[in-house]
Amino acid sequence: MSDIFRIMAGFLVWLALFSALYGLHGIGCAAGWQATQVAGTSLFRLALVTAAGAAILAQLAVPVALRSPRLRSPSPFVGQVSTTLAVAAVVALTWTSFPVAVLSACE
Amino acid sequence: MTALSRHRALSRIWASEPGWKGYLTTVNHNDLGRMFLVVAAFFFLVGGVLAMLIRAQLATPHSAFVGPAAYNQLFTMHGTVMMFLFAIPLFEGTAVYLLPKLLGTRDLAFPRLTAYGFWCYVFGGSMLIFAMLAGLAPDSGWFMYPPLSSVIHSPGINSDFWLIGITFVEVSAIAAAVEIIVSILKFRAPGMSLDRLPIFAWYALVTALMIIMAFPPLILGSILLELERAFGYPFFQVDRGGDALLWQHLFWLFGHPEVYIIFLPAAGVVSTVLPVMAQTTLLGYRWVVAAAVAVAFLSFGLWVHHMFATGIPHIGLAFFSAASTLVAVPTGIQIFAWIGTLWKGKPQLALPMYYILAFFVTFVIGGLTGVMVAIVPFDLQAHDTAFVTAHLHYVLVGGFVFPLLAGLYYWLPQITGRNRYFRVGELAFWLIVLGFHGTFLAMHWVGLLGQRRRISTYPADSGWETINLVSSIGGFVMAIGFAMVLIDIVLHTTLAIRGSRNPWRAGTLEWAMPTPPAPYNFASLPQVSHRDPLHADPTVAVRIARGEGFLGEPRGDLRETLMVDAASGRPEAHVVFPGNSMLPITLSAVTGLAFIGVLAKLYWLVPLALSGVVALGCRWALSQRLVLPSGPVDVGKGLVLPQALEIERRPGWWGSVLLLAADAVFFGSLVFGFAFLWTIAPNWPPPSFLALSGFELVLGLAGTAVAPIGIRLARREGRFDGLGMIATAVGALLVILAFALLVARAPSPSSHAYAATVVVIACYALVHAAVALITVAVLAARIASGSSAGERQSLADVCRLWVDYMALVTATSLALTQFSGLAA
Repeated sequence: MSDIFRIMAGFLVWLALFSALYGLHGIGCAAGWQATQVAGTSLFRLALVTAAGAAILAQLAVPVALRSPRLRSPSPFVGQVSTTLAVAAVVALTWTSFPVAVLSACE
Repeated sequence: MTALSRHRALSRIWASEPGWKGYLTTVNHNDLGRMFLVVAAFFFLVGGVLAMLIRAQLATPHSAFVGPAAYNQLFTMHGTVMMFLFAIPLFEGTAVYLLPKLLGTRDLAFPRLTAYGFWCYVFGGSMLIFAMLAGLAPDSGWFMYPPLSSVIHSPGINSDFWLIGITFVEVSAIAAAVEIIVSILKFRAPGMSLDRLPIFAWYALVTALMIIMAFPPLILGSILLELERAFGYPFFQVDRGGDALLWQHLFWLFGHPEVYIIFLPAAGVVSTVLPVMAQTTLLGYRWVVAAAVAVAFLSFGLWVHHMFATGIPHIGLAFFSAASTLVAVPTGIQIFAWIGTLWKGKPQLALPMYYILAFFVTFVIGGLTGVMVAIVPFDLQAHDTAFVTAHLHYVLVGGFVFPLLAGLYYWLPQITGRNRYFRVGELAFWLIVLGFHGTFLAMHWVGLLGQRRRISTYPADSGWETINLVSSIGGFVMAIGFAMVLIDIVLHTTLAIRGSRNPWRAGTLEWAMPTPPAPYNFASLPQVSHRDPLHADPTVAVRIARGEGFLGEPRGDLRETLMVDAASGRPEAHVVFPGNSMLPITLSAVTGLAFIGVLAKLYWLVPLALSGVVALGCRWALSQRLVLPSGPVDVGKGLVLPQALEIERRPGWWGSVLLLAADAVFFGSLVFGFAFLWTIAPNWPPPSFLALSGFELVLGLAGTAVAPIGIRLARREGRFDGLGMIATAVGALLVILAFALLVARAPSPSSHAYAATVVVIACYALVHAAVALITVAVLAARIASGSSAGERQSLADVCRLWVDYMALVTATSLALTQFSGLAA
């Protein structure tokens, strides 16, 4: 079962972080963060960009962890598939979170 | 023992009962797989006839063929039947029939659960067909959006038939998903490690995991909408704190993964059939596995792309637009792997290959129009037009029906033991493919010209007349093609000549058995050392028949097989399956009574039926006991293994873990709904919040602490086991009391969505405490009737899962309900 978790780990974390970012965006809009200015930008933008950056870093930790001697699968097949998916999940999170930096907030 | 005497002995042990009773009592996957497939095909015919009625209506402007009310029922039932009663059950049927054969085992993990799921499907589907024949069919569209489906705008029983019938069918889907996952992970031929899994098994595993994650949000949505319709709980009514968008979120949290739940098994069929047709092996097996997993997860991040026109802020839309474009990447990897497989092999143009080529063309077009509607500005133009209808048919027919037809013609010799003789299928192929593209290519066009979905008529000067006529003619040509497929199959099964065992020279184990397959599949279980065992060792079928594998000597009347380690495929335990039984169909019928009670508003029937479900469920659980003396069992080839009911993680433990995973998704969706309404819905805060009750809090927390400790004591043999079971029961009772008091003093659930949600959360926790109580009662009954130490510990491990989950739910529910007033 742990090998199945290794295979799912990258995108499981992606799903959690993606949902958290979407949730934070909903909370920010509902709370009116876009109207509050902080350090030359809106609190909404600052919060979402910071959260997205932290999320990408957290996502990066997954392939690193899966290659570590402690968590590496004894099966070469599982090792390759899980690492491929974990790296793909980093790309996916970067791609899906870029709108927080460029699009208009809460409109 | 000779091969023939072994065959006779095993056939007697594994066969269903003779006559019509056999259909009702069988738990064998061969029978149930075929029954699933036949019933799904029946529903396909029903859905097809409805489609023809729709096309007849739209063939000409101002058509008086059916009125708007009947037309609403037609398109609602067409979508509902095709999605819920055809596509998913067809996958289930295919998996139920094929998986044990591909995996080199004798049956699925829980044979009685297969039967229970099948009968839930039949009874739930029958409810919807009855509604249609009675003129009471659902008429609010297959996705049942409130407020249209709410009692204000749909006051009749029509929408209730959808909510109740589909929820009943979803019980079947969850049962099948649990069955499929446990079977793939734990019931395989020895030596079949994860990297040797047949590619279809990977796809089936991913699909079943998706069902576990995707169906609970829709089940929750259906329950909430039914509560609103029956009792006025205003989850979706804006004036009392509800929000219709909550339904859309819950529906599409299910609905978009559903598209891939339908596509991925079909991709599994393509990945299995195409290499055989190309006389080679699948190119990039690892990449294909990774792509299937990636598609599955990405599909859970796309649901809002069905809601682009609902006014969600730009950033929110862009998240889902980006994720929607992303899903094209792993899908593309699979398509390139298939093209590469064709490139490196020597493709033969047999009938399955025709359908695979049609799949390529059609699915790629559907995928590209999918990328078009994933882009928000285009979607706003095409939204709710026939363009979207055409796109989804390209994806679903191209991505599911065509590959499944390829699979049908590929595995037909395996199912019937006959070679194809009549060539009706080739003509049928051309009629289906040309008819399909005639219908839906035209529909793209008329959609871009502005024709809306779900309209029963249109003006004569709209410019859509000829296109619609072409579309309708195409539809009828396609229908004639499907009728010819049916004729071809009937001719094949009745008149075609007997064929050889492995006509395609495939490498997977379903061809290493006599055809049509015997009820036991394999006379002995092979040791697998290659992904294509028949290519690695062409004599494997003979050696299996000679009993040279595991469990080659039948033992009494026992239906025996092996459990293996999930990763390595190393043999782990000896399993004895239950025999034929009326229990699954009875339990399914009694479950159906509970649903009928809600539907017919005979509420007195619901607790009565649920009591019956509990009683039969306990009988089911208690009937699982050791039939051999406690201790290890000789499974042949010098190997001795423990019995599955005496190991720490018995099959029921695995099943419970997966059921609890689905349950946790349900609970998570409920918490999401609460948070969504709180932050997004208008007309909040509610008139009053639930006041904090220290007494209820202490009761609930005490139960949360006591029950898990109790069940751990009960696991031990000795003087504390009785005390442990009593402590667990007391803990569960404290939780029940805490939430019963909360429900009694909560604001009226019909007053505001807040109060309604609080009551639903409390009831959820209360039900789980009752379930924990029942599991402990089963454990006590098992111990009282005599059991080995290993069996008791194994069963207690299963109970511990349910008790721990109850504790988790209780703590979360107490926080959500008791402190909600403080959070405000």
